[in-house]
Amino acid sequence: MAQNQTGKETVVPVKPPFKKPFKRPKRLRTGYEELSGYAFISPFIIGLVAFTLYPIVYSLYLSFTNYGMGGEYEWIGLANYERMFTTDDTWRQSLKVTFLYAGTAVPLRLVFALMVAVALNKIVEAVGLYRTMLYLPSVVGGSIGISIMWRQLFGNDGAFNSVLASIGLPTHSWLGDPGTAIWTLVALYGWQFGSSMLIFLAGLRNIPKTFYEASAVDGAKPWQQFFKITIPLLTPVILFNTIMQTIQGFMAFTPSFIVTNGGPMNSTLLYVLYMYRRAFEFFDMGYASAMAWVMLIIIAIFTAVIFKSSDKWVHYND
Amino acid sequence: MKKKWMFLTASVLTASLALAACGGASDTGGETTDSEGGGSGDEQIKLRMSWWGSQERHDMTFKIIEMYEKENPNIKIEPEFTGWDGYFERMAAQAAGNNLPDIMQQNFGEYLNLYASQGLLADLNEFKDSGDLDLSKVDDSIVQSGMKDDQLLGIPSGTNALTAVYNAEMLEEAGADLPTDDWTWEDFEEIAYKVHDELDTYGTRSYEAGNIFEYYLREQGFALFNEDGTALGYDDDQILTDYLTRAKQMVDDGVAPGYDVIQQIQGIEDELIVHKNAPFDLRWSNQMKTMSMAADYTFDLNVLPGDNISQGMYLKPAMLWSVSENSEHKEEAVKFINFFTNTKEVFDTIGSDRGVPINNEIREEMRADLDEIETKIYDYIDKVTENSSPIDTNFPAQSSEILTELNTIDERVMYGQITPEEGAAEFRKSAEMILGN
Amino acid sequence: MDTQRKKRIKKIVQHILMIIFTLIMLYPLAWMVMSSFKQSSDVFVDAHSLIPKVWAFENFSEGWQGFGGITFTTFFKNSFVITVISTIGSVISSTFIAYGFARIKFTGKKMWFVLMMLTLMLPYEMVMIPQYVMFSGFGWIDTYLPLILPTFFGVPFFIFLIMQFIRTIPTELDQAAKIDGCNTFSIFFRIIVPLVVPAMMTAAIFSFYWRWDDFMGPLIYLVTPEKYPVSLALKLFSDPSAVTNWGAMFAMTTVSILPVFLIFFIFQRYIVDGISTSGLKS
Repeated sequence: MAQNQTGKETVVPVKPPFKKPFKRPKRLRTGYEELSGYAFISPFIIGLVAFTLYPIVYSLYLSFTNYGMGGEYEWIGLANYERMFTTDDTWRQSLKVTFLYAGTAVPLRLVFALMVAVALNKIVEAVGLYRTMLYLPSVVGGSIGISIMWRQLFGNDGAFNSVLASIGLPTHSWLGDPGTAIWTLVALYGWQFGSSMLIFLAGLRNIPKTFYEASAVDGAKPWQQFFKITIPLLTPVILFNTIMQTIQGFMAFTPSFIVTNGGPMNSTLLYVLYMYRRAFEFFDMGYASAMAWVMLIIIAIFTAVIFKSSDKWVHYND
Repeated sequence: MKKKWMFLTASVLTASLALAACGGASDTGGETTDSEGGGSGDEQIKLRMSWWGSQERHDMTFKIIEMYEKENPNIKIEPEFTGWDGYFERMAAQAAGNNLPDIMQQNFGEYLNLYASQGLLADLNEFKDSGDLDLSKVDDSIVQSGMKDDQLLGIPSGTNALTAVYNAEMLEEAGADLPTDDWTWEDFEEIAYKVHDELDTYGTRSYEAGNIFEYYLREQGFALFNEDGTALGYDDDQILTDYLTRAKQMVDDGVAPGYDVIQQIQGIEDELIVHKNAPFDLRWSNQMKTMSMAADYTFDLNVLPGDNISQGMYLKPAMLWSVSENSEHKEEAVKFINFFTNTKEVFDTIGSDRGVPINNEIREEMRADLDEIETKIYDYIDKVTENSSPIDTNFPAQSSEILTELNTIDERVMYGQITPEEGAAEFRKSAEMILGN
Repeated sequence: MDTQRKKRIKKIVQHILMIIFTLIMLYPLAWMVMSSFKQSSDVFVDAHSLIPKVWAFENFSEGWQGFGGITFTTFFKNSFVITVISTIGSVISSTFIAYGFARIKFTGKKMWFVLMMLTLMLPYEMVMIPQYVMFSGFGWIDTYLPLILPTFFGVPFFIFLIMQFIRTIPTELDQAAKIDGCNTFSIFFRIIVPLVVPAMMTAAIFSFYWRWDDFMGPLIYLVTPEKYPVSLALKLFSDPSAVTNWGAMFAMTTVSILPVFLIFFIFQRYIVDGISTSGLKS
């Protein structure tokens, strides 16, 4: 159990991390607190009103129109939404693909990032180098380079197939098969785990060493410490990563845009990619706006559920 | 600590002040307020000009702009270029903000028609009449391709045609016949099968459904869309069924690659024909130079096969120059387009990067210093000019979606998910629904 | 003695596993970097081999020349200006806002928080056009303002991130400080800020990279090529129907990753060697 933490002695009273969060009795709020609260969040409110509110409301308005691209357009009520829910098969397909993608890629990335972060947290030498190297895949982002690279990797005579062949496994046309193309994108999402890893690392850093020392005295095994201390104390960060990755997973667009362009047979047509096509290729901006709002509702429901459940499993110190 | 706090307050304050200051400045009408170069006392006219392209094209276009500015010191052209990625997204934003550049490189077909239908493009007819725009040395059919509803909305920067590009060496090696100007689809298939059998490569690259099916319709006397772009331009689904059946047969026999192979192709330099994995490819003539350079081999160009080739073949603008309706200097913008169209030095600089010059005289003069592949492209365009019928311009704004649908159906047929008959029927159904509004 | 050796062996095994894992993760990247040394014509021909047939160093000089006389020096400078200013703006303002959300009780807090989360759930591609129309109205087109100024009003992702970190800090510290006569502001500056440095640094690293990589924003707001950042410049190499200088494009992509790499390498220490939860030396 090599802890590399060089923090100073802490005088935080050691609380057992697993305790029911106790409800603080409602105190009367003072005017001072009200004021300072608003003082602190005022930049956000100003920014929201000045930069964000108008575009958002405008896009909601557009979703009830047949706005194409510049020029004339008119109010058509719920027609866009109606078309989406009744006749648009491609929309249904894109929703299906997105659920499959988000449902697999997000957990994959989270688990992966957590495991790597915990492993890195144990290593003493050259940790900065490892961290940097493992973060690197996440900074090649949506460049054209990455799409070429990924297609090369999973191509018929790509590196992945060579590896399979060398250990005697059957090769496969990963990108060409509608059943497997989506998994190459899931792999891409998993590969770029750097940002989640970093947040986990910062979170692990925040766990006071005293907890570990105290439990070691009680004779706890490393894995017990992991489940009894690390995980519970990391829950605020786990919550953050879960929510953010869920949002990002549902809104993923770049990978399928640059690697597969939705194919083969729309098997990788992510929701936002289809929305993008509607807006910029089919000049159907009103419809695309309606799609965006439907997506917002779906993500909001998921986020709300995760938040709601967090009362049960997230442990805060406040 | 204190300093930090001060800085913070200061930054929040300045930001909100800036905001307050901006509230009143909302009447700039989308004019970029650029204070550069305003020092000269002359009446300098600024023209915004946008295009998409690759590194080479940007450099060459810069040279042309310099040339023009030298001749016309009162004009300052501000280039706004991007790659292909993002060009039309930016245009969409600028259209929404009523902020389109004076001169725009446009794409033929649904793009041009969409911008036209939204009234975003200026009608250039009046400038033709006033003499600012000289199209006297341009074939009428080419001018026609920039017209929509009697309005002249774009001037082709150069011409393009579909072509069956082939590798003569491979055909000879396989002992197959070379294509001729009057070959049929059966001839084409025979050669493809022969090469596949002899050389153990593909016999042809499978082709992109959108363009080739349209040609297939044209040579049988139909068009993809009807006169006013409100429905499909053919009634008998058997035509599409035949087309799909032919293509599917080749894929099933291994003569043409399936989509799983096509998907791996990473760009024009990575095409099967470049790697000698197929002797044929059906695509646009202006891509031949890129292909030949990539393959280090001079390909040959032939007309597409069929029973009525000259009815099927057509010239297409490689791209067009348009002027935006919101431009305040339409006349000056047109003058530049005129310069671009009718100046030989322009084409000395850019070669056939934007297609083969549309001005007949320039085209002849250019021939003197063309390389081998360019000569072939020029000859080919000449041949098609003689043996073709005008391009169809009746693309509805939804055509982009319909062509995407056609590709999806082609894909499903090739994968064996649906039969050609089902595909043809389904295409009609989808197309009618998209057009049905 | 024996345990010493055991420990050593364990360590070595740990490192070997880590190195293997890192190498696998880096393979695709290595492929891209090596492609920047290949001649454009070879990029796809010997795609399967990492080592170039011919080392084409000229990719870098050719790529650097940029377009129409505007070199990558300009593009990099622009990227730095946009990135550095907006990173400073977003980290400072987000920390500030996060504290208000995490530690202070006031009416309507929940509503503002929900609104903030909702702004994250609309794809930027759809808000883009209305936002363009708005900034166009301000007369901000072809300036850096639309890219920089909004970041000074907090970035939801970072606000939420820093919030979560603040909430892991025991409230006892605040209480103690209150007893010592600190007000909310001094608690924020003296206690909270030092303790959330790791989270702030994490946010800074993300912000730097996201801004560096942002393509859509610069694409629609900047039209003068002299103002383009690197992210936009990298896309100027390619046109699917014309010759693409692949070698130069890969070379510039590789170079463009370097600053992000360096920033990360320099700042990542702070994430981990930040001031750990140390109590008040009262």
